[in-house]
Amino acid sequence: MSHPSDADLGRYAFDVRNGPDTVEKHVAGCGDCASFVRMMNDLDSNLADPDVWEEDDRAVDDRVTRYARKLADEDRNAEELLEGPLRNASAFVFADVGAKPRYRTAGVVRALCRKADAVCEEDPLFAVALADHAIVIAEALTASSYPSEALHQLTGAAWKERADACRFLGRYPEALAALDHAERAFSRLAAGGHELAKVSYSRATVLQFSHRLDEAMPIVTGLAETFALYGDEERYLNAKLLQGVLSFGRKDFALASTIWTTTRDRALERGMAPLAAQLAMNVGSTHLERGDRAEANRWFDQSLIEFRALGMHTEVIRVQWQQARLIASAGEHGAAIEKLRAAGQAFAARGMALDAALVELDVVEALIIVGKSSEAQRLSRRAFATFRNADLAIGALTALAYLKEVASARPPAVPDLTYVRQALERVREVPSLVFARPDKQP
Amino acid sequence: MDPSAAPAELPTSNTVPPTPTIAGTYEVLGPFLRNVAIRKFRIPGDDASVLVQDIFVGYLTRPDTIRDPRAYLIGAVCNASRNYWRVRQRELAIEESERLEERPCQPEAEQWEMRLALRATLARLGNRCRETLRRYYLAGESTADIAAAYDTTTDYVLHVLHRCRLQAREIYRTLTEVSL
Repeated sequence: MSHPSDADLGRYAFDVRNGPDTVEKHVAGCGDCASFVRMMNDLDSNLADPDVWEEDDRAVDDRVTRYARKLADEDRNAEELLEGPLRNASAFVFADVGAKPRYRTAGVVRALCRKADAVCEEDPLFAVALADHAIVIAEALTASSYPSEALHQLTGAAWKERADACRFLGRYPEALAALDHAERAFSRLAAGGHELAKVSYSRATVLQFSHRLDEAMPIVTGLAETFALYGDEERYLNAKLLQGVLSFGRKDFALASTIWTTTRDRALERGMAPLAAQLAMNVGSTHLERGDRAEANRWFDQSLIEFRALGMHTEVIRVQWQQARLIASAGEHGAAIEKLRAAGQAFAARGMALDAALVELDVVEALIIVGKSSEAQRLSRRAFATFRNADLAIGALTALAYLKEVASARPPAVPDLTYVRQALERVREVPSLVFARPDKQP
Repeated sequence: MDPSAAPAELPTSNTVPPTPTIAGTYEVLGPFLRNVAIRKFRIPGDDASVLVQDIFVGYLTRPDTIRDPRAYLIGAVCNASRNYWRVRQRELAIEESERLEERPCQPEAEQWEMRLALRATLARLGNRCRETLRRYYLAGESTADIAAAYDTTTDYVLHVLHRCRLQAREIYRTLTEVSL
């Protein structure tokens, strides 16, 4: 198809009354040319806006560009300085960077914070050490060398890293105290809203792990919307997930379902398929808790379809585990036990010892319910022996040792099974946690 | 797995240091953010400049990575501008206090960016083009008025208008295709 020239289209857009009929007919049937005409019309209408005629002050202050260059130099320098100390935790402690003047730069603080963030989950003790040195250095930097905004940012970031590391160690009061320090520093920023929202998110997470759900809930309400103000989609979704988790923990299953359903819609819109599938499973769990087995089944089935399509086999097992619990809730313990055993074996085959142990717990509970106490005992003894050889944290093994006692009790105490389950879940979050028997609680 | 115990965090990307080109972002976005502070929040020009500089210093200093710097910086200038007035709250008239409400700035940002791009477009036009367009669109002069001022014909003025509009369109299109 041949098109009118830009000049003809431009003249047509300028005054359609005087344009040739051929152009008008063409534009009516051609999307590209119609788009061109629309753009010319937009341009014409905006040229009448006095705002677009104001001249911009495009002078750029040198302060920011000088600071950016300084920071880039310090980052490069820090990389060289810290290559040895950051090799491992021992090398770092030996280097004692916080005590040496040559390490007192913003670049070093940034590098230590990034390293702390990177190792936090696997080696939280190392992360604490890194954060502590970052704090010492950040607080030693002076306003004569750095803008005050930079000092507040660095101090806040270092304390936040300490808080995150303490959370992974299960040192929750210390984590909260560190977050207080971070919050004070970030409050001094000209635009600390995003950083403060991150602190609030961490605080809510620590409170969640401390089982202080009622305190966590008001903190997390509205947090997702704050992240949205900064275009931070990832944290928006994290905050929504957390809000749902807290609601679920507080047994407000209806609210959890609403939150997770709308979050799932957003995840689907953004093509975040694994998250959408996980949320489908979560929503199914809310229905399971509310006794709406038909809806629970529908959501679990949907989740299963989506995880299978994604090839996420571990998550498929997780959904099948939930489906087994659904069957058990209908009183079909025999069928449930079969499905649970299959899920447990599948986890064990993948080396997921803790998940396998949690499934075994459900099997033990089901056996006790149907009156097969002897089999429950045998299973719990075998579970302990099996997982002693697996790479389970000592807290988890201790919990499983206690499980043997619970299963052997006459009658077996099902509430104690719940206690063991909670302990195993907490060990998943904080592997160094020590299991305390309920009868030894202060 | 019990969702009440499920870890809530999605995996986030490993932190990487910002690159020196982020400083270039200041040259591009700085004036735009300053305009937001001045026009939307009515912050005096000098204070707006300091505000934007502080925002960039804080942003550059962050050890973590921001996936969408443009969206983040727009959110930051709105947050900073509201904080600016919160500190000075006693100076505000009651109706002005609406500005303190945390509302998303992102939807308006496209409009501001368009205006900024148009200003940049006009700055790149030749003087004759710019003046002709200004007279016709902003001052509302007729082609006859302009022709009289230029001592030429209305047909020629129309020709200049058409040519300059097409030029403006091309420049605008080029400017807005460059993403930050």
